[in-house]
Amino acid sequence: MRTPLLLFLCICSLLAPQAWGDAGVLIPSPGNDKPDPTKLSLADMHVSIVIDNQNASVSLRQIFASHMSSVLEGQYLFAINPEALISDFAVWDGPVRIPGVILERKRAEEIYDALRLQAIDPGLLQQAEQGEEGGSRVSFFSARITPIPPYGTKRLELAYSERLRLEQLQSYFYFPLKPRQFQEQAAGRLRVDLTLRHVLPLSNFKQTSAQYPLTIDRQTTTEIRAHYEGSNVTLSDDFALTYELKSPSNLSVLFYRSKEDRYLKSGLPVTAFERPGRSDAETEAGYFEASALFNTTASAAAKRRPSEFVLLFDTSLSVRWDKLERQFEALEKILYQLHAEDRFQLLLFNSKATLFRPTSVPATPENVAAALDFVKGSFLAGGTDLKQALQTALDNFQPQPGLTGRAVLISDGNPTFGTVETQKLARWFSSATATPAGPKIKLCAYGAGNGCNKVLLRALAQSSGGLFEFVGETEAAEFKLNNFVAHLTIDPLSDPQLTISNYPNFSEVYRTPEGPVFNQSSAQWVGKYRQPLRSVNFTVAARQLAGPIELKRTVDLPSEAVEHLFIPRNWAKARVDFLLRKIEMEGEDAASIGEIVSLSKKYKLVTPYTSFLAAPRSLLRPRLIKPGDPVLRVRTDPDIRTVTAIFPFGLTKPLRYLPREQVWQTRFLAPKEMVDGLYYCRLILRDRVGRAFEERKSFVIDSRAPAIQASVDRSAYRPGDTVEVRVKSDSDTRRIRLRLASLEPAEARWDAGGKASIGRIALPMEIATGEYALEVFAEDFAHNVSSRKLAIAVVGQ
Amino acid sequence: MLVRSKLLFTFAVLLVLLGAAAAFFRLKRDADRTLTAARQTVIDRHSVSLKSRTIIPQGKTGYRLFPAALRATDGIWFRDHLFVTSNLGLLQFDAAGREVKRYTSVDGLPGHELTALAKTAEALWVGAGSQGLLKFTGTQFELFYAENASDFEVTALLAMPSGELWVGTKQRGLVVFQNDRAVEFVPAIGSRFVTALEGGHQQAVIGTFDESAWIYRQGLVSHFKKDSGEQGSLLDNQVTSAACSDETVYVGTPLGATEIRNGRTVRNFAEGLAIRAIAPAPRPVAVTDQGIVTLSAPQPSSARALASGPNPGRFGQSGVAPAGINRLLPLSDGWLALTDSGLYTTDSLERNAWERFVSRSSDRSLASSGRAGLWELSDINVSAIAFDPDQNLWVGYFDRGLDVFDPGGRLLVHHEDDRLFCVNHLLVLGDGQMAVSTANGLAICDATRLRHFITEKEGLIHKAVVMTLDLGEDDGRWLAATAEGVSFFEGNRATQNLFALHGLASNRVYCASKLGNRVYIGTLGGISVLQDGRLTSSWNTANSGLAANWVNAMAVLGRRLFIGTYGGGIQSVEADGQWTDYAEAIGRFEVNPNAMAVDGERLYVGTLDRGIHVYDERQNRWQLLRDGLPSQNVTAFALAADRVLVGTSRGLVEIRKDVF
Repeated sequence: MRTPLLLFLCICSLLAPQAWGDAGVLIPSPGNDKPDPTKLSLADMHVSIVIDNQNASVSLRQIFASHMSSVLEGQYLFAINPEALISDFAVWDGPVRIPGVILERKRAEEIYDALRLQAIDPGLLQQAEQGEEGGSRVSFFSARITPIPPYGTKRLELAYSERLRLEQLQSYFYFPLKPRQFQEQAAGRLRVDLTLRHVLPLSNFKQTSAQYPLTIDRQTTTEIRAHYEGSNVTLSDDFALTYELKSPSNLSVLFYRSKEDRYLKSGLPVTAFERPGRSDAETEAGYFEASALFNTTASAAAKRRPSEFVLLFDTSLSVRWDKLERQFEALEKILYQLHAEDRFQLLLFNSKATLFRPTSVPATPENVAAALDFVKGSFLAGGTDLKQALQTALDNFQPQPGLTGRAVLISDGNPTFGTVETQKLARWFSSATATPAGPKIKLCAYGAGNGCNKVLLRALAQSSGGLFEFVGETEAAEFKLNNFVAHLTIDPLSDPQLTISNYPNFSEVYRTPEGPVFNQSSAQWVGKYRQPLRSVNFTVAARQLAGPIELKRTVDLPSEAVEHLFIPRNWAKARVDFLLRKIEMEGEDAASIGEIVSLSKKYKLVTPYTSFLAAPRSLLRPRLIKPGDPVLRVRTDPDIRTVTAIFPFGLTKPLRYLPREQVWQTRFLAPKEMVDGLYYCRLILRDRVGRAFEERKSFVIDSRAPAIQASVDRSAYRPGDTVEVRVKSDSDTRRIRLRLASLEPAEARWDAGGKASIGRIALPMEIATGEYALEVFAEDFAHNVSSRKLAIAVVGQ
Repeated sequence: MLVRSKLLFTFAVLLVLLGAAAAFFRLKRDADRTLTAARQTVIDRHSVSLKSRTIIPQGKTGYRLFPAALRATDGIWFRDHLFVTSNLGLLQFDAAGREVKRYTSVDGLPGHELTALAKTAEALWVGAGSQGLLKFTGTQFELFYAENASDFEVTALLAMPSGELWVGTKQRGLVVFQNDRAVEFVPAIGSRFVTALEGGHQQAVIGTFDESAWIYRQGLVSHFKKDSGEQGSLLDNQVTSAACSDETVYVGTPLGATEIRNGRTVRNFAEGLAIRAIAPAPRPVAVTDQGIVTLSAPQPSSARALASGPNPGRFGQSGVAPAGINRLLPLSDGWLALTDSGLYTTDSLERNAWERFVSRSSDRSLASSGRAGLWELSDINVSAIAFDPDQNLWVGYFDRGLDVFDPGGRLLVHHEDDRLFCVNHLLVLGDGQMAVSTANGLAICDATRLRHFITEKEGLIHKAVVMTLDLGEDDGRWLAATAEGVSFFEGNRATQNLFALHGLASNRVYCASKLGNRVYIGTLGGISVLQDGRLTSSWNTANSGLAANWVNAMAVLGRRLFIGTYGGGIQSVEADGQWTDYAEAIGRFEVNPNAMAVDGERLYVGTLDRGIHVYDERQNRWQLLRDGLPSQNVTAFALAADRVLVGTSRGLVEIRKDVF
């Protein structure tokens, strides 16, 4: 590279950005690559959240106002939790609402291509594709919005649903408003309406941030209605809440069945723009959802037994960059949570497996620190021989008497050497760990980042009775990681089973989600029923150490029940997941694919075989820019014959087509006068018939790691004290971590009141007195890292 | 008594008057000074002071410029000679088409960034980009430049019939040249990036990069933009070319051309086509990326294609319209095209029969055979140079692959495909093969063949490879520095990768060097030290003598590791940890990636915009070399016994070592 500024990687493609988009951001173009309220401001935002028996349905309406005298376009970005299901997206073009539709993937792509040739760029949401950098399209939605009239407004609507987990009787919900990529947005008017209801008593409802204080409108033991309303609201934090279910073990059953015309068969409300069903249409089956809450005092009171762990840590090339950091974070968390009486063995694997020590070692702070150093001293290399790694773990795993044995696999689950087929690998592991007394070893699998082979990891975990957790790139990992670590040393309940009297009246019943169930959490089943019946017995049975658990409920199957609209869609999702697993294990078949497509269209689900075709979106998506490579890469459809880039400093360059990668590429030199910041280049694309299209692409000049100003609240501490660190850094900082000696690292989080990021590290009682260096690491979105050291002293009591 | 009193009184009055007068004049002087200063401030804001120096073209001894494929950008007839600006300098042809002279950096030109041509009665004017403005009288040049180069970066020229010289600039808009000063023409066009200047007796057009066009007519300036205005609108705000006659103005953009008459847009032509050039006479034609079109009246809504060129690529023999036409000049008997692949003529655009315009009489035979001459580079944007064990010269280009020449200058092979085209670095491996670092992977080549191409699939941590370093170990280990970490190889097999998690100062790795048993890895965030296979420490501005964290190049001279940074100049460190900063001697500047070479007792450092710094260890002296270079952006070195090859962004020059 011979460049005046080796700062940009401008990769413009159809791939989801590595950056974490904010929720509902509209970026005006031309001329911007971030929200610009002087051009387009968020005038009005309404978020309606209904959490109905752990099922959250979120409807978002945003109205953007243009302050320009010319017609604008904009790019709309929304980052969705990977577990969430988008159910609707619509753009209003004047009085006309343009909704999105679910289509077969190929058909969606054909229509998408055709629309683009007409210079209408449609939005397209597709699932789980591997990108160049290991990224995936899932959990990110973008759409180009045009036209935005001069001094006019643009209304956008988006809806999604997600199932909230219950862990240790607590649930967590968040709606992303906190800026992750761009600067803070402000809403001219923000209203949040919340309805939280459950058949069981709710308790300890609280918001995790004071930014949007709710006014409680109505509160009973089973329902909370609240709202927040504000003007000129700075969106500096997520809207998040927690609540608990205070109930002994309980089985509840909810139903949905409708024969009314005003509801679509799918259970989604008909809008004025959709044709209602015929009144004499055959009545659909009914749907049920049974939810079993397990809360036995015996389990809760059980003492934690000392455990021995074998930790398998993936160091292959596929887990580089963010995935590796997330994996390392998980490993740190696990190791720091171990007790002194626990033991562990660490195995690093890629194409080879390497043991930390010949045998397991006690989980002392010294050994934990040495293990982490061992990881840092290793190299990422080669491919992944997962089978060899698992075999090595099995060969070396000899838990000492009195210790509970566990294996923890931290990997993306993508083997490239040895046995690579999911089905074969899962079967091999199952037989390799089978003993007459049950699985020889319980394997818990943790996968981070998109591109994870969730099917394999889940299969490995389930075959041995272990648990599986996955954290997507756009998620805050803390809640899931904490639960994963907390459950490592607890035995789940044995596989809960649902039995129903009059079973022939029921069909396609699935437990969803699958996976181990722990005390103080819940298990759900969804299914269909044909006819209304009275006095049907539902029974859930499970086993725990203290003995069997049985929950019963007798209910009448209604002929009509329309209160819980989420049930049919949950059932459809479970059915689709079942079919996808079947395809993964047994291969594709036409019937399964056909049913997936049919269900997806009916219930608006995005699957590997269907796409959500929404309002126009950009042909070329931006992605997170990394410094150091002045390369512009553009992915286009096959009809494009030439691409020319026009850079803001006056350079015009044709791009070269790389057929092997199916991408256009050029390099450029930028003058050194271009200071750090966001810039645009124009792309002129010409297709085979000579039509010209214009696009704009952004790139970031970011030559500096974040500047850090850090301070501690005092210079001397005693064992047991908490060190509070206050950090100020550049606005493009995405993460700040604190490290002190061999203690568990901590994150510094933004405190709006203090206008700084605050992090805290608790000093253990056994820490030795002396001088310590507290390191502060700041990383920006371009992955520049800077650090600062602060000297602190630990003095005696 | 009375008389004395009167005298005293008169004296007192005179004193008072004198004092008042003095005060008045002081006040006036101060006011004048303030006024003058204010006036000067205003003048400075709206004008640029220029310096000048004379250049008598004569070849510098010890310098040899490598030839390259000709890319002609502009041309003008001056005193019966055709002058052409090109990537090879300023070419002069006689009326018979023979090249009689070539003025290059070796002759004293400030570089090969020649952007525009104009002529007045007394001189030929050549825009020299960031270097300023050249005036050529036929025997010598005079260079006019500003103290701050960006104040007078010349992009376009127009000699008005009045004798005024209008100069379009990149950051100061349109200025009028007045020898020692360039004065802003009109504030509205100040601080614009001027891309086109055309005009005549009646009117002139000033095109800009992103603010459309202004037309100066009858003393008034009108602005034409993409958005509709009362006088009409253009197809785009970026003006790529323009043409002007007494009545009509044509404005070319990346999306077509617009005709303007009497201050109003009349019609559009060639919509959707990128306009590269417009020739208004004898009849208006436009050069587009799809061929030459005529801007004819009968069918105003469509441009009639005259000649469609083939897809850009190597040009063939006559009979095919040349691709990449930058300018069309009318000849008495046809047209002359100045193109990315040389000069061509035709007697008729309709007939579309083109011939190569012979550049040198001595090259006539080469021209007819189509064979390139000795040492003729495929491109001038050189990014890497190296000699292999057979003394073949390898030249890597920024985005045109690489050439391999035998010691006699004969081209052995040109490697360029969709993987091997953005070359960053060249390194001879222990087995004699060449490791070619590219933005798309790592190519292992011998003189004529690509043997392996290594990407992430083969274990490379990232395909954007900046450079490679032979670790000099018996097992043939070497490393590749990439945009996302470091990969280690044994032979062609990747064995390990290093990442920030392992302690690298940053994943953005630019260079590496070895001193003793330590490997130093230069990154965007400082230097990481690798010893016995482990990263032991990192240096940055907070804990070392580094002046900037962004480390672009390193080289070992004697017992010192010299470190070139982006913006911090050069430092060195010795094994005992002693740092030396050379800012006092040579200042702070940007060192280009891996633009460092060591030859015995000398260190050569290529910079972004100030040529070459040369350090002589024996004399402990720095020397700055700027003259003779086709560009001050020096990107690569290759060292032979008695000469240094210097790669720049605008050509390759060989300098005898005794010049230093």
